[in-house]
Amino acid sequence: MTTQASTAESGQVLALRGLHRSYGKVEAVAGIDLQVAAGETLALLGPNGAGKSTTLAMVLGLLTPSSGQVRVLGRTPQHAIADGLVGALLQSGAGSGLPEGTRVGELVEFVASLYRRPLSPPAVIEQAGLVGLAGRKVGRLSGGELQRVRFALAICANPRLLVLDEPTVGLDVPARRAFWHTVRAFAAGGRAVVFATHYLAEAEEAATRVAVMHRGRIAADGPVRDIRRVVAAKRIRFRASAAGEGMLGALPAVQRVDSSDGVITLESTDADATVKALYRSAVDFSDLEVTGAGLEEAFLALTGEDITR
Amino acid sequence: MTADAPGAGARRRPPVVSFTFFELRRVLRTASFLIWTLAFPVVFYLASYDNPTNNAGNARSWGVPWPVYFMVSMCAWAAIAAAFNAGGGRLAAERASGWTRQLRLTPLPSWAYAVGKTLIGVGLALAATAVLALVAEGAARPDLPAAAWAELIVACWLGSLPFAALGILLGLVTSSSSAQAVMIAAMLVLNVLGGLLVPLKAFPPWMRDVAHVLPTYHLGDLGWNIVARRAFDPADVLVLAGYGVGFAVLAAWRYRADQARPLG
Repeated sequence: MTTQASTAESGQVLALRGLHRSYGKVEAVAGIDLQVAAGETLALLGPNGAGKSTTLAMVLGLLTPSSGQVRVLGRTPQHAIADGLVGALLQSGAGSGLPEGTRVGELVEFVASLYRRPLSPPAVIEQAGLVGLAGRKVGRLSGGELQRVRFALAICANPRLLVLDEPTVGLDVPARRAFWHTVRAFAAGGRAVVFATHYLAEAEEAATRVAVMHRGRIAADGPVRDIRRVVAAKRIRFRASAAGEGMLGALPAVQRVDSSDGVITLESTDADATVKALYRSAVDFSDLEVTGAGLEEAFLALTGEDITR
Repeated sequence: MTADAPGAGARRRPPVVSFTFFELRRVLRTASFLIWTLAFPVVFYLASYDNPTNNAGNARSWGVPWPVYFMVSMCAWAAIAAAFNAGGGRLAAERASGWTRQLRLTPLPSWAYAVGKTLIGVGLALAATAVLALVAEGAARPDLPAAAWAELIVACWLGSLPFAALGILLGLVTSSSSAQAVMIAAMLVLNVLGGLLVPLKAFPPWMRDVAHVLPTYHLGDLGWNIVARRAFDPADVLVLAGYGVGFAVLAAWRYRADQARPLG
């Protein structure tokens, strides 16, 4: 299911070719080829340690690739940043990522003043949802507000490519939703957005395309609906004394069948259809239980490898 | 997409200028910084210039009366503190919080960051020196020729450059939790051992030898020679310049190492 997006031919904003990065013997990024076109919002989806942050750091020129190439609108990352084509919101670690003792409005004005063709500071404040907070000191913002300020700084350049590295870590659900609403509105202007996340729901909510990263490679790359089909997988578990695996595998939407000690586990992309068919079948079962397949199973389905191992 | 700033490119300030003004505004808003660098030497001068013991026992032993001698010490102290703290004072915290990395994602060149911090440092050093000179003039009436005042202030101002570089270097090698303690300790040790608090004459010989290799002593010596109207000692300038270049080279090297760190 490594389907390349068909939009890559025209309007390409970001191109990664044969990208590698090693730390000593560890290959954090082990060969990535990826194109992102204008108007696309790409989610880099993967567990911690999959190489998402390392990839984004190379996209931004913060890290030099061991081999391979990054081009943003035909330029090196450094040139693209100097030309104001890229905006980024990275993980801030322990701190806020913002200098103490400044006000939101001053910060936006300062960063905008560094670019040749910035968005106007009032437009940045409005698009980042900071109206009414321009006079607020940075130290007196909530987590969600801080993230909006960091987003504001990322869009000051009026960038063609916006890079977000796990931008909603630490935000509560309403703040998270509001944040993605802001990103979608900004992306709607024909920009390319690339964000890293390990939340499948976020990839679904915000992305038009998902690239699944696994051990430094792109394990799967496709439109959101393809990934959603896999992600929507449910696990159906029940006891059955004697049931032919072949018969169970033939039930609608079933992807996998496991059985051990009389406990059968079915993986289904449409649990409703599978369970209905199961009731109608001749199988004598008990203790039926339907659960979401979860991140690990989704990755397993996508990559054919067990990432928890 | 609303309101792209029309013609914003035409009147743009160079990024280094933007950054310097942005930093200046932050520094001037930091009360603890202003108290520590501007007020401390003034208060200390006012508390000690009229000290009868110093005036009686040490009067004219350096060719100048104690209030004038101590004015130079505190001018140097003020310049050093201002340059040192304004330059690197918050650098460690800015590295830890991710702000320096955020700046790397803008067109602001990394040299502009160092230049901006240095400019703020030496600018505040000039202000701190001038404030102390004014206070001393009002309090002690040292009766110096205009040329000596000008030379003293310029010497302290330019002599603060190596300390701005040292502040940046320490901001690069310390963690945000240790930075403040390390910087205060470094400044106190350098200033006290350099003879800026207690005159060198009061030191045992081995401590005098230590003082002679410290940049703080040589900045003080530059000033003491000026107010005594003695010929200036080229060694003072050479030592300060040597420290300045050394600190700057080390800071540049540490900066590169810092950038090459793996990211999460």
